[in-house]
Amino acid sequence: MTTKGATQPTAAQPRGLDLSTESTSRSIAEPSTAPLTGTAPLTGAVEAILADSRQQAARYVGEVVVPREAGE
Amino acid sequence: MNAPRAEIFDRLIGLETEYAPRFSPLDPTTETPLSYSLYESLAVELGRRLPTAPARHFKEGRFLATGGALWFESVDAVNGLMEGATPECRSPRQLLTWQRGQDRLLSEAAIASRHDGRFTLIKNDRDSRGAVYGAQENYEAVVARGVWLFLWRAGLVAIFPLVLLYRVSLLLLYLAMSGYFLAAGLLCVTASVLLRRGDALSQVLLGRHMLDEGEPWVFPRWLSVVISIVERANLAPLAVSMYVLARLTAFRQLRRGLLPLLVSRAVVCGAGMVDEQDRFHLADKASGINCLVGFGGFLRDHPLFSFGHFLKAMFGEGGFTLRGYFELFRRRQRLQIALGDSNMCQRAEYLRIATTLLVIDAIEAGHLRRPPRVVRALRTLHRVASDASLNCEIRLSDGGRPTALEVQRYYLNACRRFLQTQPQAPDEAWETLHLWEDTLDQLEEAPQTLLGAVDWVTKLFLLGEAGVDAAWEQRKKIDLRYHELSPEGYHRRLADAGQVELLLDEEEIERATRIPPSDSPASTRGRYIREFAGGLAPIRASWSTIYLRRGRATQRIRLTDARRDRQARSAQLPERREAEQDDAPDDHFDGPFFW
Repeated sequence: MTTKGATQPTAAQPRGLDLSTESTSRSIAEPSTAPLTGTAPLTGAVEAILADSRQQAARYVGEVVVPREAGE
Repeated sequence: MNAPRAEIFDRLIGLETEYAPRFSPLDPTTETPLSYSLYESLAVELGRRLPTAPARHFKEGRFLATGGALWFESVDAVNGLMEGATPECRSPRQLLTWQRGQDRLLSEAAIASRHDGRFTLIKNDRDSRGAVYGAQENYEAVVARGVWLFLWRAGLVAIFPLVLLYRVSLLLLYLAMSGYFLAAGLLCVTASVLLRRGDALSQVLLGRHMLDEGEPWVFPRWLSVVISIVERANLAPLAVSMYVLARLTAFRQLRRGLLPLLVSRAVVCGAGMVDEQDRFHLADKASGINCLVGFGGFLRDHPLFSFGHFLKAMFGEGGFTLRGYFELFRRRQRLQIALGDSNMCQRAEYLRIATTLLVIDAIEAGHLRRPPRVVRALRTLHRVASDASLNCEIRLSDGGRPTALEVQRYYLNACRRFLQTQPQAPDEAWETLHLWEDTLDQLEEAPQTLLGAVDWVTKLFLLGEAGVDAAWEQRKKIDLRYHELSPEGYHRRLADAGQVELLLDEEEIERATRIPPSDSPASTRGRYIREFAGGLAPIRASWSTIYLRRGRATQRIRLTDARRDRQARSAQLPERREAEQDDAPDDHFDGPFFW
């Protein structure tokens, strides 16, 4: 119940896009395998995640805050 | 001998996802933009990437050429969340594809939309202070049968005077507000001219200085509170009546049949969470669920089954129309499940949708007539979701005490028996069954083999690698940033390193960022938006209708479920006379699927 000055975006023009119906592909029961296992040595990605998680953790956590009633 | 042909993976389904916006300014001394400003930036950037059309709705939003929508889920004028709604889909695989397309489209647009800082979306269900939001599932289903359907419709007739009363009270409220702003404006102008103190008065009465342009207009806090109280008081009689009616008659069989499945499914599709006391939970949202049935926010309730869309139908989708109300009389309505985590792992998200859909199909086909009954379901839900050992017992009314995995296996076996009676069942239904069984086996025997496939397992692994001495802030950052939709997000980093399981091809997801799914009302919506957005005939859209402005006239194109139309027509052909007396047209669903 408020006035908002929403900006009206300009519609993009499709340029040579493939607009046919969705393609069929492999069965849902044949996923790619996940090479990460709990017993494997730490991979580079996991090490990078852990290093990042130590950096300014409190600041990051403080940035993920939504208005109290937003999801209600 | 085979049972009658049942509907399997053939109903309209969809997901709504509330994303938490995170903004990190380049200049730390500057203020974080208001979330409405972030929404505006996102909407503009989306409009550069694909055709969009403004929503004709009481919420601020835009429909996309993919058939889905972006909404600003607001608390007030300037604070809220970004919500993405997938187009209406048919199969779980299709829905997973368009959900992932939406995640990619919105997250890439968010990052590109701001140059004054890093704007990213977090696809989770709790912020760092414990506020609950996140994912909702929608399944088109039969609202009631027989005497319960009669009672549902009779109840709708009985509460109709309350609908009219609410509409009148809303009109009076608008008139009162208009009168207030007129009087306050005149007072402020007078004070400004005579006393040169108009600005302070304007701030109190109008929430802004009269000539202050450029900033969104926010009501004064005191006025917002008064309006909110008056609005809720006006709505209370209708809301109470609707709650009682829906609770007594709507989706009774489905709610009963689904409850044990939902109470136990965190073991398969929980996203994992570190709470404020540093305890690990299997699921992000479950502990925030505070009732089994509710409207989802009217009284700060977080229900498992939400009837909020029934109440919103009374408001009118695009204004003071009663069409939404009359559509509640249809036999097929939207069943909304508000329990469910925003998954990052494709297998977890797929199983969340597919297993629930398969069980709905089985229940509607008359299977699962006597599902187990959970004693103290809400408390049990909380216990199951907080037990990573998977040993928590679920107390049943018959004295049984199965674990969540055993309850899941009960449903797995029931669905297998159901599919064995349905030779026409699509391959995907059987594939779902196999994936479900494999997942339960792995959870029982070696959960660590589900790294990259089940979110809680993956998140628990990362937390374990951080070590027992890790501070809460670090553990919480792992919990939250796992869900960040950007190259810095932890799930994304694992995916980029090839360490998560993928069910979908890259090409499929990319297509879902551009085109709508086929054979759905979204196909027509997306086609019209692509054709008319930015053209000479201004277009607006809703879940049920396309509005094309042609001169002074507005052309309305109803978005119907073409497949169900065809099915209803072909069912009528052999025995047209009988069919005319049947209630088959009620099966036709052309109401708004989302709100």
